[in-house]
Amino acid sequence: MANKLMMIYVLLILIFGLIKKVDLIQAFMIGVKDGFKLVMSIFPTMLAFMLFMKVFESSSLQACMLQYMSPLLSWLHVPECLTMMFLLRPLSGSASLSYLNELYLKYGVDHLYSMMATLIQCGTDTTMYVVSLYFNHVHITKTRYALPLGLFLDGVAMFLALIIAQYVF
Amino acid sequence: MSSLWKWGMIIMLSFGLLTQHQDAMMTSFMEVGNQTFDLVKNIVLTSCLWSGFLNIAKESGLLHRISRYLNPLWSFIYRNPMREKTKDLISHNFMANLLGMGSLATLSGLEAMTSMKEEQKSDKASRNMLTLVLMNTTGLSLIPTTILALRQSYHSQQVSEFVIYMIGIGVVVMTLGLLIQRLIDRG
Repeated sequence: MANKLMMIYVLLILIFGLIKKVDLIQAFMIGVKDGFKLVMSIFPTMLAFMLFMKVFESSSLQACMLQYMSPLLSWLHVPECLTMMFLLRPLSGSASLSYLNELYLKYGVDHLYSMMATLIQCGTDTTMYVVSLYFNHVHITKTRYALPLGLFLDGVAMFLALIIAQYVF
Repeated sequence: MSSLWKWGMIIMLSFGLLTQHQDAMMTSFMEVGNQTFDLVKNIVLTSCLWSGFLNIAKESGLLHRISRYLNPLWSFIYRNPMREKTKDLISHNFMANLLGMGSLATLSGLEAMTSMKEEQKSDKASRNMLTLVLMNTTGLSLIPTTILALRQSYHSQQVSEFVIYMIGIGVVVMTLGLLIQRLIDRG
């Protein structure tokens, strides 16, 4: 379904270009060149970001925070296995996705916990990553309220995910 | 963001040293370059392809034509005036997000940021930039391609039931975010 939409979209672009008499291959290659320049500039940002993530994990601070967050969250009736999801989601989309995969394997794909984690994964995006990528790309250092507001909204989204999953699944 | 990185790194490194995790940290130092390169390589190569198609859509005027329908929405959400070019890119970023095309969304989002930056000199985030980032961090999407494929592969009985709630959460959180921004940022 999504793949079909994607291909239709590409076809639409090509046909429209054809009608408007655009030199398709030239325009495509110019775009590729621009894209290469654009995305190459993200390597420093990504390295800084990944390093941060890796050190967070390997310095055992992550495990330590997890330990202290669990009682707090279980007081809010959040299952312990979802604490990790809460912590990972704003930091890294791929890390939380692989944790979601683990939950699927452990509890089964249609289990309540799996559904909660699915909604957490989909209901929000990787805030820290987006904020650092977008602002570093244009060398903006004063990001003002972008991060606090983004993280707060992540919290709201996760909270909603739990409530909804509880009642629906 | 930069002060978070600065203090975060110092605190984490000290914490790791105090708890005797220097070996694990060193291993992560050695691995991170490669892993980042792999990640960036994947993003770069797919994005280049989309960048190519995006450029055709730009040159043929398709992008502008599509974004015309969304323009009233943008003049409502983005408080400060923008160039046409920026509006086109924002529309594209928004649509790519909705359709679950992550790398295409990132590409047009970053181009929109560049376009906004060209209009200002300071290194402070403008209100419009913050709005764009906000729209992207809340991540409203209609088709979560990755998750649907993953659930399908586990033979889920309810592959896509969650999508409607996911959209609900996305809409609520994005609206809330825009409202809060309106309250705290009068710029």
